[in-house]
Amino acid sequence: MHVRRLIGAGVSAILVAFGTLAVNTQNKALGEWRSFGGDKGYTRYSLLDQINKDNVAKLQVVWRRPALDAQFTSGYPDLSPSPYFRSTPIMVDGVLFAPNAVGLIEAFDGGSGKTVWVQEPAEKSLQAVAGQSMRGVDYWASGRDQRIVVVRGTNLLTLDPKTGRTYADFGKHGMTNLKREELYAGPAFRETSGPIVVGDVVVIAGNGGGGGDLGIKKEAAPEDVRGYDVRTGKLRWTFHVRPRPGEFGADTWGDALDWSGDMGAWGALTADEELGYVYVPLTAPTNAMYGGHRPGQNLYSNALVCLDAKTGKRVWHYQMVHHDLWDYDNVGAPVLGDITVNGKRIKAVMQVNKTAFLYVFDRVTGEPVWPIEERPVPQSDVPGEHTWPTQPFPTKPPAFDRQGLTEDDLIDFTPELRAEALKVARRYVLGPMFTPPSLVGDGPGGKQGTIVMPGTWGAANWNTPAFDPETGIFYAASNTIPYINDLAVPADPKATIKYALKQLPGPPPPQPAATPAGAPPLAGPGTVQGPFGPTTTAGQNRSDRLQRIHEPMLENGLPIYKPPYGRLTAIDLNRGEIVWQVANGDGPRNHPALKNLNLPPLGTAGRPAPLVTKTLLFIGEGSDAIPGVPKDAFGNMFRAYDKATGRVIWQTELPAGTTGAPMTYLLKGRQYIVVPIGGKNHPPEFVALGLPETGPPTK
Amino acid sequence: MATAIIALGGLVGGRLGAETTGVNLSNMGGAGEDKTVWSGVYTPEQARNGKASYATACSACHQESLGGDTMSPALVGEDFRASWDSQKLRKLYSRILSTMPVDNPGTLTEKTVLDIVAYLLEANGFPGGTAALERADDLNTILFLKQK
Repeated sequence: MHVRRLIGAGVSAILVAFGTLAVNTQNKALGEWRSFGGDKGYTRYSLLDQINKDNVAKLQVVWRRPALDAQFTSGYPDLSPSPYFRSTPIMVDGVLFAPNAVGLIEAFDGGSGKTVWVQEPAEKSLQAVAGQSMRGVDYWASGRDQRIVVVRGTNLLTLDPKTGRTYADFGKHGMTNLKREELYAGPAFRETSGPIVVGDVVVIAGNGGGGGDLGIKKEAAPEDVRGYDVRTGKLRWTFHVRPRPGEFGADTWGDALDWSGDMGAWGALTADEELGYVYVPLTAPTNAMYGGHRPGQNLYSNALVCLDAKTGKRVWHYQMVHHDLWDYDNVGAPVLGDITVNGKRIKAVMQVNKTAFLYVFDRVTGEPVWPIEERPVPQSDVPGEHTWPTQPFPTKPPAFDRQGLTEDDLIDFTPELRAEALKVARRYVLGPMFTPPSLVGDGPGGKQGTIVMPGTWGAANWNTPAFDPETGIFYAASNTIPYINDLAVPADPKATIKYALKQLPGPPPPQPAATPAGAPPLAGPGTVQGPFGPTTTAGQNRSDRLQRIHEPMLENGLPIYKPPYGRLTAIDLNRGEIVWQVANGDGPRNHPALKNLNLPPLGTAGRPAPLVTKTLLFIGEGSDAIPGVPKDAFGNMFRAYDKATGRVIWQTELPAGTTGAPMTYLLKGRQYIVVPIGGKNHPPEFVALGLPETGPPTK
Repeated sequence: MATAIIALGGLVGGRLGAETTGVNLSNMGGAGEDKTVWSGVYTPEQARNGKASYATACSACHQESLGGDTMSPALVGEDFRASWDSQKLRKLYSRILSTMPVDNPGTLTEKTVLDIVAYLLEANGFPGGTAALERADDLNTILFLKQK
């Protein structure tokens, strides 16, 4: 097909639809991608249709770009950034802007991937260059003043999009320090998503990067939300995620008000610039599995909070999980879009949670679009715990992934595998979602904790949501991964919490054979020296997994529960009903114990993020570069689904899994799809895909 | 529906080729790979020092047990050993130096990182010896092998 014809088709479709969409195109010029979530409502949607069902099979790699510009790789030989490359570029006026593998911003040409500029580190030292990638940056413009808004490390800064230079009159020497000074602050500041600008206010959340709420301390700093002036970098307001004495919600903490914390929004924030509201998806308090020290509902943990971006004042909030005992964060961005329910047009906000529920509200008022019922849930028998008696259950739409675990949910691929799964499962307490954590029993036959489904990785995670504003279809990429929630008295004398997740013993003392000439400490064929003593290879694998993420599995590494393990779900939010649901990826169908059973795709768990276009949904499988990734929860395939049916119509194998969200744009008549990839054995990079050029270049 | 072959320079057999223009530290260091992590490349004393440094700089996220949690990988066990298998020990050193601690990377001294490397080797069952890891450059000629 001729490029000129493609351009005509793509642009006319945009123009027709552009005037009909409200918030979702509010910040999206023709063919651009001005927010790392696609727009301020984080729809991950593009109207582009040059790449479509008819030609997607012709996609080819147009360019590849390392996650670090060559000047860094040659100048700092000890610079070895994590391959977990979160970055999704924004595209403005033909130029892509993205955090690189160490969080410095690189601008590069959308057509070639070649460098336009690279942000200079504050000084030429490894310390100044070292860092981590972020999910993205934001773009702000007012008249001729244009800025790329960046959080890097503990600093907020703005860059000139033409040069990459900071503004001397912003903050102190071009940067505002975001470090927290509170008691129990732990990491001074850590953010992995990125800033959002609403009007002329930059809103920052995060703080702990999502970690730290499963430890052995009950004390933690609250991860407050802050607003800064985009021109000066000055702090304008702070919203307390743990109310201060006298503030609304202060009575939901018992006597823990002075020292409870975390709860930060480590997923992306969204904003309705017309309303002037910012939507903040808050997460679990500390400790996320035991709350005997924090009686009450614990506002604003696990709440979606709508703030006035100018003042930081709360407009409304809704708490998805009261008194969390499961680490059930609000994880994906609160997606903004308009839907029509029973003939009424509603400005909606759609929040996924690790629970596998999608909670849908009128984003102006905070009223649930469909009733959300408080229903009784199982109560804890852990001494001192104060289980909240009820939890919110949306009546619509249905959950998009499995909730709870019973013996009926265990694998039945073969009678032998089912028997083995039953043997594992019967060591634990099973039950519906919100079954509380339990103590590890000491005696014979004592249960070894509770298997919680969904687990702490969630059915949903940061990657889950996308929304099609034209059809009102919400897309959810989710995992089916439970978690062994096993409480015990912490052995560590530094613990300040009564119960915490059971930790296996620390590493053994040096082996007797640990001499320069000593033999490797192997005990025999098929046996390896694990961190906790000699064990079989299979047993070692299982031990590692249990130690790391408390994931129940068979000795051979198979999940004990039925597939799918990773799935995609399309939900019609005009009706509140699921349209289709499919397994995304093969999963363990080729495992030695299953390969002769001729099974269909079982779904690959992971954290792949969808990209939705006029006719297609693009998605990968996630990467092994993600810290704490569950067993086999990644893969290198990248697929295009027919978004109307869930049918895979094209796939390719990338050299590594997707570490961040794909994006798309139109430049000089050509549509590009750019996706970040990386793996334990593959350096991170961007890969750009496009159709072959068959006609003369277009100006 | 078949898996597509997407073609450009560096594509092999329907996949993007494994080669990349990305970071490559594998050529660092000199010749003579005469040592592996099984050769007793650290001392027990150095590992003890590393354990103390680990407690200060690492254990808050990776846990005192080195078992990690949902946000931090385990630093002991098969997955960890497989991650660094067949790579120069300098790579492990460089990764620690340039990414940790997560809120202040690049700030640990050479000696501190070497001590932590020694502790991780010990915790993963690799034998100690009579000579300590003295300089980062020494790690260029030590190969990490998960099994002897």
